[in-house]
Amino acid sequence: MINVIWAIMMMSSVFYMIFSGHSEKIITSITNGASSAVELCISLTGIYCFWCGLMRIAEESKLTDKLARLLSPLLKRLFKGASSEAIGAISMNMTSNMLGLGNAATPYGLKAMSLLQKESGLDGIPSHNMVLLAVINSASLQIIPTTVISLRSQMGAIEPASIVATTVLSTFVTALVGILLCKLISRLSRR
Amino acid sequence: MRFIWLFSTVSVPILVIFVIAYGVIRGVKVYDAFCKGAKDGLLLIIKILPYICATVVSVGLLRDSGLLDIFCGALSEPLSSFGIPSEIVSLYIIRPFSSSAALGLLSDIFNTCSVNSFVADVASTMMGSTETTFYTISLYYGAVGVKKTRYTVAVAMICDAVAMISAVLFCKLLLS
Repeated sequence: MINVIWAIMMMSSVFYMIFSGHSEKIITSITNGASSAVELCISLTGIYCFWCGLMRIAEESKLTDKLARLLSPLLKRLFKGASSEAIGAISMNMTSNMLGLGNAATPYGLKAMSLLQKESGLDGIPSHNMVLLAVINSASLQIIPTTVISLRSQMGAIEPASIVATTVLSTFVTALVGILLCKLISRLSRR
Repeated sequence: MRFIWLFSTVSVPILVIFVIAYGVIRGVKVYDAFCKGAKDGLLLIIKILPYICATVVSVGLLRDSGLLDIFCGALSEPLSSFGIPSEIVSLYIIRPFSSSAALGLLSDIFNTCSVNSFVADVASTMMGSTETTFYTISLYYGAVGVKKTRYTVAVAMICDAVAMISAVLFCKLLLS
């Protein structure tokens, strides 16, 4: 599906730029996009190294195991058949997400993803557990929307943090719907 | 509200100190362990760069061509008849693609509709309860070389729609 979406996005944009007489902008746009992708990666490299390093300490001191044991009763129900190592990475991923440490959550999530893939034995297609992890991560779990609050206070809001309650409720409902849909589909398809 | 501010500023430093202190207490060679982990981080970035490149270029083209604006305009009319403000619809479309573009749009909404308006509340709530869906999915699947996404995109898109509707509902219930 992502292949189709990507092809449509690329082709329709280029065609539209040609027909609207902006064909000279195409190559500038591509160049800008490609170099900002590299810039993004470079700017992420340091902080990724940092969080991966910190995670390694947490791993070697068995801190992740402890946290995983705390969350595992819930996560084991959600991620059926996942190893305790994968559950550990998932619990760190979710904890970081909830605390709003997006840059910390991603390395844990990617680690969990590769563990889940090894366990699934599937090649090139995601298992139900992998889809569930991707869906949960694409629904923000952040409890305190720090970026939004700081933007609101910058713009002179009377109560910048007034949206915390609505955000938490909306996040909860969204994540719940995502989990339920995944569970429903995996039960219907069985593979 | 003071507590929330405090919480969001101290959570990172506390996490860092706690992990290192726990490692030291447990007798882990923290410096060695950190460097080993940091090397993994470097390899991770190299692995995901191609996927980030593909996503960022396609979104940039879509925005620069003006198609994104047209797309938003076409969808805002039918949805606004359901009580969903048209500004929110643009946010719904842009949010899954680009976090920075969505943040730009959010400050745009704050400027044009006032930061204390109902629309601003809904937009803030939505921004806080959704993620950069397409980026996340391509990142997570890219890292393990998964090319077929099965039902992931469909479910994630439904989730974004749910976030939009529930943001409108909860803001109506709690804030207006």
